[in-house]
Amino acid sequence: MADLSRAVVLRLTREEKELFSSNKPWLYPLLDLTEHLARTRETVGDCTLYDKIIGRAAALLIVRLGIRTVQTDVLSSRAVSVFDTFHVSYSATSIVERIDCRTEDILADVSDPEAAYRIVRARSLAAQASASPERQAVVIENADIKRGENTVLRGVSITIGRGERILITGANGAGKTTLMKAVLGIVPVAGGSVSVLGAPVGKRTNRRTTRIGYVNQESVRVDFPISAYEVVAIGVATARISRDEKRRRIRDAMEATRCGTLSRRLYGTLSGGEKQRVAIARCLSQNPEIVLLDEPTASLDAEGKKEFIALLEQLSAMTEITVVLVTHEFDGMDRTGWRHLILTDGTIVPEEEISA
Amino acid sequence: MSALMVLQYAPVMRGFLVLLAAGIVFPLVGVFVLRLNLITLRFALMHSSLLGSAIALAAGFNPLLIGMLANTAVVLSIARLRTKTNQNVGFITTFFMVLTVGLAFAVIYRFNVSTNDSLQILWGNIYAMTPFDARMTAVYAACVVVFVVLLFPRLAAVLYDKDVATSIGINEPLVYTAIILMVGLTITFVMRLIGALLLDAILILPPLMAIAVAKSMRGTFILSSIFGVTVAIGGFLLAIFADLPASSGVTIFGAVLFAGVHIIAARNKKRKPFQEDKRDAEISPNATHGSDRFDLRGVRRGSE
Repeated sequence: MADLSRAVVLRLTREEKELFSSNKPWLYPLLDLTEHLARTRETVGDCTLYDKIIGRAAALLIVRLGIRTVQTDVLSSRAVSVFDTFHVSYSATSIVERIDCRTEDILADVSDPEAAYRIVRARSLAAQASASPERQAVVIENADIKRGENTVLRGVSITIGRGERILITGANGAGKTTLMKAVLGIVPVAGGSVSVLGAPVGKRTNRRTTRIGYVNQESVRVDFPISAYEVVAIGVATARISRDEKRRRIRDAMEATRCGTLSRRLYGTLSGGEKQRVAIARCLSQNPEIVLLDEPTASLDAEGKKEFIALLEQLSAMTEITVVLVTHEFDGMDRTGWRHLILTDGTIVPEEEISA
Repeated sequence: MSALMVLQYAPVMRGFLVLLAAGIVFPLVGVFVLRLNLITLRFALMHSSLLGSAIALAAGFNPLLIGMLANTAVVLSIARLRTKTNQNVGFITTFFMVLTVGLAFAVIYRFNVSTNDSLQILWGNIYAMTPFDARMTAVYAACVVVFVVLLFPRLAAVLYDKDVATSIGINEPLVYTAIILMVGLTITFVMRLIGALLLDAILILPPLMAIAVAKSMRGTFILSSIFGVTVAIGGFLLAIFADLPASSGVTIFGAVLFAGVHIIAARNKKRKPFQEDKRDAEISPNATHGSDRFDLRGVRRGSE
């Protein structure tokens, strides 16, 4: 009788009872398993996992899931070191030096399973966005964007997948803010096109843009009397929902960003970090699909920056919100799991091309 | 008390009631002037209102109506130029400010508008309001209240940040145009009431006092109204008892109250540095200081 267990790429069993299986390519089976376990809240420490090929990326994801026993056909030496470090028992038909995969190379020096998960997830979202229009949050195609009479950005093309985290860096005046405003439809596109959630961004705002939360530099400097609660309430100003629902959304957003205790404080009297938490709460109350952050860490100290990035990590890890962060400074920022693009000479290039 | 007997006269009573309505409502408009930094615009509109009134006096029309028309024309021109040229509003309004005052004095000179009538444009006179003017003011004041109350969430967004307002689907240029149109019309009414040169007493001083003590945007609007009506009543009474023109009484009382509020606000700030409101805890019973974790559960539960 044929061994049917080998027909699948990945299979999770407990005492020979199958709990999960998948035959998708790349690391998708492990990502699907991660989502499955998050939904079912099942613990898998006593389960056995079969995965056809296990490299360092897969090994780190398996460790993150808490699986202690693994079987495989092909195991890389890089994966062996991970299993040895985290005391995972394994059996493999063959052990190879390395697996020819870009993700494997990217994770060569990563030993934190959580960081590995963030990187793999980001790469999977980017890949899905390229393959499927439904998975695209923002598509900018060969766009020329002007500020006044000057063309600030030329032939810019970016595809951002839903749930992706994008870091766009560039010097002051490189056109980062202009790019954000083009996505919002505030700045017109002179050539090419900008689409958000499948619809082109026109001169006028449309309902698609209401699903974009926007945190800019100017709003952080507001010193006019406005309470933190009122700032968050701006996120639901145009929402066609009941008053109770609005209150609930505001409360949930403030609790999520740990600024409930600030609600009656004057926004102008808050610290830089508190203001940013309130600004993020405003975006969350908007129930956004995309959050655009323009220099959000400019007014924060090192600790504040760390805390802010941690908030964004959780934001995009626990929801499927796409986060686009533009900044001229990213020193000290853990860029794990962020796709990094660089704005230079009026166009945008991936970091890898700059470093190559 | 005998001084209050003047209220028996219809023009005085009418003037007092209009001043009362203006004191309650027009400071709401002053909040927009301050927040959107429309000080230059305010001058331009004062000048265009002066131009409209001068034309009306020269042609024998109602100065209030022609002043409103002149201001509307200037506001719409400014809004159009702002969108078309992407220029700073201050830059555009400076042009109109200079042009309209020049034209106003040209009209006054060329058409021999009497000095007395010209001064009335500058100084205003609440007792000179006709029943028609009073009704117009009352209707307009009601419109301002409806505008502010009904559109408050959207107005708050525009006052907070225009780009953020756009990001939540607000047609910011339209709302901005509506705001400056409202500012223009209000200036016309206030000039008719207490005159161009004393306009600040009823439009700007109350919101300035409110800003000094308010803890929220909603509070700023409410306190502006409260300070506005206080200035209107206090100024009117001061004018009657001190035998001053109403505009002088309103302005002097407004200035004294302004100084008093700012002194008290400054003392309070020194005495009581920020103390967290106990009611804050009610908003988020689970929130804890010092935690480095964020709870995002439930954030995406909502539906639109």
